Amino acid sequence: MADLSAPDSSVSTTIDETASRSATRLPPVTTRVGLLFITMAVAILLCAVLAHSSPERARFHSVMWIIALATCAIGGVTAMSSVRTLRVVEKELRRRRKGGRQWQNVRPIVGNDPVSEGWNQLIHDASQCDNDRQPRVAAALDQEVITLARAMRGMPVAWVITDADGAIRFLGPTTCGLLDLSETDDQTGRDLPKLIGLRDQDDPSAESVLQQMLGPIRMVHQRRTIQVGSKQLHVRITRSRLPGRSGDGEGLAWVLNDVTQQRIATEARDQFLMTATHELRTPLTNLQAYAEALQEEDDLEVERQKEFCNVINSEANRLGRLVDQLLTVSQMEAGSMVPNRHELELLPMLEQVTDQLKGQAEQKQITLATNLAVKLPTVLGDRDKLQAAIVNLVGNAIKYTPENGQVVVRCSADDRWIRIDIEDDGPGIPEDEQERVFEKFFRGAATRDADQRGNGLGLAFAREIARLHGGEIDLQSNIGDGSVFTMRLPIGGRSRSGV
Amino acid sequence: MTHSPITVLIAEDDPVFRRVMGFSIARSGLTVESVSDGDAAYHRLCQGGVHFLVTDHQMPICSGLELLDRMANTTNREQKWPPVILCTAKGLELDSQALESRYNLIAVMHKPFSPRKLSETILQHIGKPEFTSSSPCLPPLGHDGGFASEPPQVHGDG
Repeated sequence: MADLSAPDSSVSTTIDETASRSATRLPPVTTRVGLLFITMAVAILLCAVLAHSSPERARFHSVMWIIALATCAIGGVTAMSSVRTLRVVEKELRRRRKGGRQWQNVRPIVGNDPVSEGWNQLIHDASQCDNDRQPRVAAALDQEVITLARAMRGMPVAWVITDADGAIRFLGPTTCGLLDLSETDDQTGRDLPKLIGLRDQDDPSAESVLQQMLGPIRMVHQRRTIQVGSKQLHVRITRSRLPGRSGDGEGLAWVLNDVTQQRIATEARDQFLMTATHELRTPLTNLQAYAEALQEEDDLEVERQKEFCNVINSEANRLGRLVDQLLTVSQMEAGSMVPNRHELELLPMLEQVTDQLKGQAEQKQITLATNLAVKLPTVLGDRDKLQAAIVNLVGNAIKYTPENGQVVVRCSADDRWIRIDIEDDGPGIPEDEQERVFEKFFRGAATRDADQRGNGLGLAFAREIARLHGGEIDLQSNIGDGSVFTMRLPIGGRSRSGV
Repeated sequence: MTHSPITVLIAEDDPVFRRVMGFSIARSGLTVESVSDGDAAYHRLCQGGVHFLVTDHQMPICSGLELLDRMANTTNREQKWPPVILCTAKGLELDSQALESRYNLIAVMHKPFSPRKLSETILQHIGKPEFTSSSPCLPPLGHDGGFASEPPQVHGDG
């Protein structure tokens, strides 16, 4: 039988031809051979029956014998032809196994039956895969390269390797996540500069950045804002040139670093610093101005001099307080402050606070009344910070209560919380400002009108302190009816039963 | 103290600083009026009789720049505005040169600054010594003759 194997060069044409023809669908080869043998057996049986029917005619018997033999011969030849394609396949497979060579040496088959078609298609597909992998085969054997490649894929860094024009050749899984690309789809050949908005015609800076990125400089750093879906990302792009070697072309290695969160943090910090420096400059300005006024004016009355010195003193205090609070508030917001935890008696602390502020209240003829429970459970907390927070709350109440008014400090406890109420006779806080008064540097419209000064940190500080102790500050206020600030602190420590 | 015919309006929200500025300027022989925000300053300016404005930048209700914008955008062409000094605690974040040329400011003063220097700048600008000796009675705002060295700055025409 002729060797049906064709040379490699004819693969594509063979496949094209066979693909274009509509192959007749035959039953599988085992069925075909089986049917053939059944037919042969029936034919021989028929011959035997006919011969048996006329036992006396020897010539007729001879003819039956010849027919039976011919049927067997034809059946054998047909069976051989049926499995001829399989025979070629077997031969090809055996040839490969014998030589222990690469499977590429297996040859396609000429023919238009489904088996030849399938075989040829298989070789075609395999050769396609092999073409893709061919350059890597040698490297794949190299342990170092395998390790490096695995590391590259596993690294939490968005990297992309492109050719010199920016068309993607390889990219890491992190990059797919960053740029919202499907990991399962083939991204090879896509234009990276387009994906990161460098081919945007509307952006005037994109053109020059792109030129720089694809230019000859070895390493380029750039910060860009890119649009991924509906999100805006701030990305730090580092691009370095890969020098070409034998076997691999020249290309570019890109690392995209998502710095959106950092940027938000930086902006918040700048905003905070800007407001903080403004607040710091205010007392500083006053210090300088009053000191200068004292220094310049020789004929200043003693009363004036005293007054100016008082201002300098109070502004210096204010500056010191501000510096303390700024640090504390920002530390607490950043979560980097660890409060001391001591068992604290609140009653002596409240007495200390009212003593401290009595003078301030008396200046405005304000009655500073206290209504404290006889005995209170203890709290676990930081005495200095809690006291500073309560001073802020009571000080605020005195500040905003008009002359001859009243400020009441109450303290009570239930089974979970200790409540400290600070009630004032002030103008009240409008509802839309009630949440905002706790924001840093926020000052209510009414307080801005009046000659009241503050740095806008007192309540923010007090609330952060309360929260740091697992408590909260609540505010109840109506315009014209004054305000009640309530500090809740959880009961803690051993003397819980002391109530 | 006899009232000087030249009135300086101070718009500043910090009462302590407002007081010391007022003190220093009054000591140099000028009449001082003060308000705590830009809106009040604008209404006072509209009443006339103010010859110099010292305004803070960051103030509640109406900031210094809003006040300057309102002055620049006034529809009343008869209204003439006094020269302005802008005080600010914003430091280097502001482009003071651009502000000076945009609003035709005499100066932008960065806090902390010396109130004496502020008074000196005002006096220098209105040419106080010559002025007091030559015309003891200042005409109401709107007449340019009151200022020896320069007429009041006119905003809003450009």
